[in-house]
Amino acid sequence: MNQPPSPDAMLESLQTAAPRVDGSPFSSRLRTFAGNKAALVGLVILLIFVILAVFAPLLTSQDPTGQNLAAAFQPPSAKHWLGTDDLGRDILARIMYGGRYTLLIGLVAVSIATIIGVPLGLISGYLGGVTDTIIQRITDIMLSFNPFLLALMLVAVFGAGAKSVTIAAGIGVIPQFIRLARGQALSIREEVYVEAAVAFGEKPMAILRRHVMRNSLAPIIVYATLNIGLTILVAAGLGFLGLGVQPPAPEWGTMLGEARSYIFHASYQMTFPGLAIFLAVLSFNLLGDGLRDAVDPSLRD
Amino acid sequence: MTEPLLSIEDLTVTFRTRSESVRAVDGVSFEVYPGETVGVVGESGSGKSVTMLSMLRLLPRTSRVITSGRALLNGKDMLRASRRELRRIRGREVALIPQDPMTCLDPVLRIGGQLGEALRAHSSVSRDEQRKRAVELLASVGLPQPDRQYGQFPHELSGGMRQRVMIAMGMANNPSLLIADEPTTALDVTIQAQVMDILREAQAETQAGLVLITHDLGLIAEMADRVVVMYAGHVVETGEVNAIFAKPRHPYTVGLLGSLPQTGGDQDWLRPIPGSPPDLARIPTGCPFHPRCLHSHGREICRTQLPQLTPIGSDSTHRTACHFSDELADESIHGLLTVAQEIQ
Repeated sequence: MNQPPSPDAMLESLQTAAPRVDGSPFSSRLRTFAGNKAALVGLVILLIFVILAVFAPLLTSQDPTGQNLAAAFQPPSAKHWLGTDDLGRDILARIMYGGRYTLLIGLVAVSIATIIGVPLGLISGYLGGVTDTIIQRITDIMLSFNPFLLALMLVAVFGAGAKSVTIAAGIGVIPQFIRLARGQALSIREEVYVEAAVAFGEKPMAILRRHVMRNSLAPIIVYATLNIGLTILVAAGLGFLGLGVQPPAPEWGTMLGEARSYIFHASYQMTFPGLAIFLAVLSFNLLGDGLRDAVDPSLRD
Repeated sequence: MTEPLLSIEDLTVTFRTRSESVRAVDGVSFEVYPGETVGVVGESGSGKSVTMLSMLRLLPRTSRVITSGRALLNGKDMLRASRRELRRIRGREVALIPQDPMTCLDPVLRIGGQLGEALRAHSSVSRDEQRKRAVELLASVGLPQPDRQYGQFPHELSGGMRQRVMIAMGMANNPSLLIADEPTTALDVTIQAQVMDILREAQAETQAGLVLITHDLGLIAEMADRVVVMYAGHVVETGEVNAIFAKPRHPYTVGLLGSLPQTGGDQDWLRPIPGSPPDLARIPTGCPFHPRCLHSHGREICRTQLPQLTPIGSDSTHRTACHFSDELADESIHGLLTVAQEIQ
């Protein structure tokens, strides 16, 4: 005969049947992220670029800067998969090595912007008052130029070169980070949990660090990832104008600039670096969107 | 009688906007003694929350707020305390349990982290100790698996559980005064009862004073020792809960009690108090309640003179602010007022 289950057993079965909430938020975020196809595509493209850039010396025997005028303007072939440029350099090798510049510039520039812009914005928004006014008026001035123009002016000051392009691109997007962080702080400081934290006697800086910063992190991470794409574009644009990484270094924007003169009779010389820039920016954008979905707790299940 | 824990004296809070000034709290005085539960009741906008928030100095700093009077907590005037003193007092001597348990926990921090934070704000304890104490607190407010809840995020808990966590956070530093701002409005009735039990136990354990801000008269009847009835920023009646419920001596209190739905009987309609609370920027002259008062009968003094809180008879704890409170001593009048309310 079937006996009715004891209350204890029922409770136990209920507890085991209840959906197990994973203790680690990281792993559940990872799962959300892994379920996002577009983000995965972005991640794969990015990883390919990273591998190509890091292992370039192992993956190609071609010298990215060595000139060979006898082999100039060769269309894609078995020997030179993406052809050669006006000085006979292998375009594939140049793109692979050039990825080092592009990825590093994007990453470092956005790090600069985040590290400087986010604390400024959070303090500005959370403290308000005179602090806010001063920071915001400076931001206003910076915002009145678009990032590219701002970076262009800074490069004019610092001089061309990889380092100054990185710093210039980073500073170019700082005001957006300040604004974003300030907006976050403004809305978060009105949250009940911030008021509760004040009511429990916590220090303003502790509240800023623990509550305000953590809660604004999701959009900032997303924005930072999306901005890596933007800074890559800015750096490439400066390179294209001849103000960025200087030849013969194979930075993609610089390559585009060099190839401009031959666009009609050797279009591949321009196409492939352009495609590389496009794919790199796309990968960061897809990644950024995926991260937003994964990181923002309010969007999870 | 022992010293009062909290003594609010002639507290007035004015919000100034560009065009007008709004007096949300006007000359409010009352005391809270250790171990006592004081219910503060009134309609929305009667100034009950503003009174407590201004005492905690938690009013939004964006508004131009002018506060006068005194709010002595353990003898220390909160209205004149420095920021540093405030930080020390908040959470340790007085804790606020906010209204809405769904939003008062930080969604990105684990329960344990937030509780630990409340503990750490006032004492330097080691991580292990902190964890131990946090789990104890969670257990003391009746969370089923405190060890597990310690590591969970707020969105994994139900509203009742979150409210318990808030109570645990409030109790973390054994404050001498707890302020619960409508602690049960967001909860369903069975959970309400549980949460109030927890609150009562916590209070009994520490002998803390409890201020219960609510518009739920049932809750007051069940929980409170004394009642402060507020209307349009004024205290209109105060006294022992039994006295107020049995023999209300202010028409507003009579109206509030009369508007409660009765079980049984042949009541067909709810009996609201006619009219609506006044715009605080344009509080009526005289008694603020007179335009809605069914007892004033258009008498002039109600329109011209603000009635003061005066003790009723020999009972010095029961005080009311009505010019004609004597007439309300005759309980047949209550019936008439209630009927009048029904007709309106």
